[in-house]
Amino acid sequence: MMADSAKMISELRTALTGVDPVPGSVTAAALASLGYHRPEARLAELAADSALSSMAVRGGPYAPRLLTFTAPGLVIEVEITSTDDHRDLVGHLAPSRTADIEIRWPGGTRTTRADPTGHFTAPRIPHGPISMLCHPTPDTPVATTWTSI
Amino acid sequence: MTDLIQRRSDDDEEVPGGVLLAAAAGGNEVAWATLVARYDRLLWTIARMHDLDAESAADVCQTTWLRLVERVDRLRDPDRVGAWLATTARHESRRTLRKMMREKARNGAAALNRASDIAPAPGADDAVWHAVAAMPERCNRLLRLLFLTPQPRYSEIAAALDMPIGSIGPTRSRCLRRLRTMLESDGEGRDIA
Repeated sequence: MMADSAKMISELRTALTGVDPVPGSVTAAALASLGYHRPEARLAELAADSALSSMAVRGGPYAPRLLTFTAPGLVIEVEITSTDDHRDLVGHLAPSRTADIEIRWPGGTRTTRADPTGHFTAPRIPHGPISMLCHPTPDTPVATTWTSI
Repeated sequence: MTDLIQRRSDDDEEVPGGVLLAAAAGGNEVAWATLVARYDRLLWTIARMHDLDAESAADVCQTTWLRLVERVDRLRDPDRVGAWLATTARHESRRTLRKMMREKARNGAAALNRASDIAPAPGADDAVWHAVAAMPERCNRLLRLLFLTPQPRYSEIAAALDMPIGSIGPTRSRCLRRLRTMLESDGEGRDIA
């Protein structure tokens, strides 16, 4: 059997083409993503993620995950504590300043406010990708790059 | 909106990625849907070949698309959007695995929640699928990408596997020879039985 290479390749194509199809919900989410475009916002890139640290996690396995986002003139740090069905966020803006912070996830959004020391909290955010859209009036808004929490 | 999807086909003159991205940045949903049709299978396969379960793989795909949206008008090389997506999905899959290992450490005995065995495609030769599944990781991943529909470009496969583009052809030949040997010895085994 399989003497013929063209035959093997055609069987391979048949075996691999239909396997593990993309769920319709995944394609629908991809199509809907364009609606989250915020061209007016500057992008804050993910500069550090404690989940990627190769060293033993500081503070032990129960320590929250720490994400650091940076844009020119603004650092957004956020600590994420996980429970089974949601995430609690405690964040800080540096330099310290007040700002409205819109926490966006696919299918929802919640607005919180950083106090004059730059601190903000957002309990019970669903797991999955989020982006924080920070409005430090009168400056340009800053959006953190989408990150799965 | 799914009716906007037109699947990539080999004989199509493809609209360059940069043209689609520029249109999508202006809010053109058909252009965006064309990109999704071209690449959603590739991104899903990259996530799944990292052994992620369906929920984690869905998160990886969605994060990857949202990351493209946030820089839809500022990608460095818009015509290489496929390679950019593949690289982003690979990084995101690895990040998800690290996060899961960390959660495993926290939960003690709880096992990693990974992809269960993927079932062979309906109507396909089970022997071929099982042989591919039993191959070493490098061959398994390369063959799964090479025979995807829509078919990725070599530059996109290279980005998905973090592999030099020049080694895809030789590795492909080696993996196909190996697969043939596996299928032939499997066939002989069955003949004897």
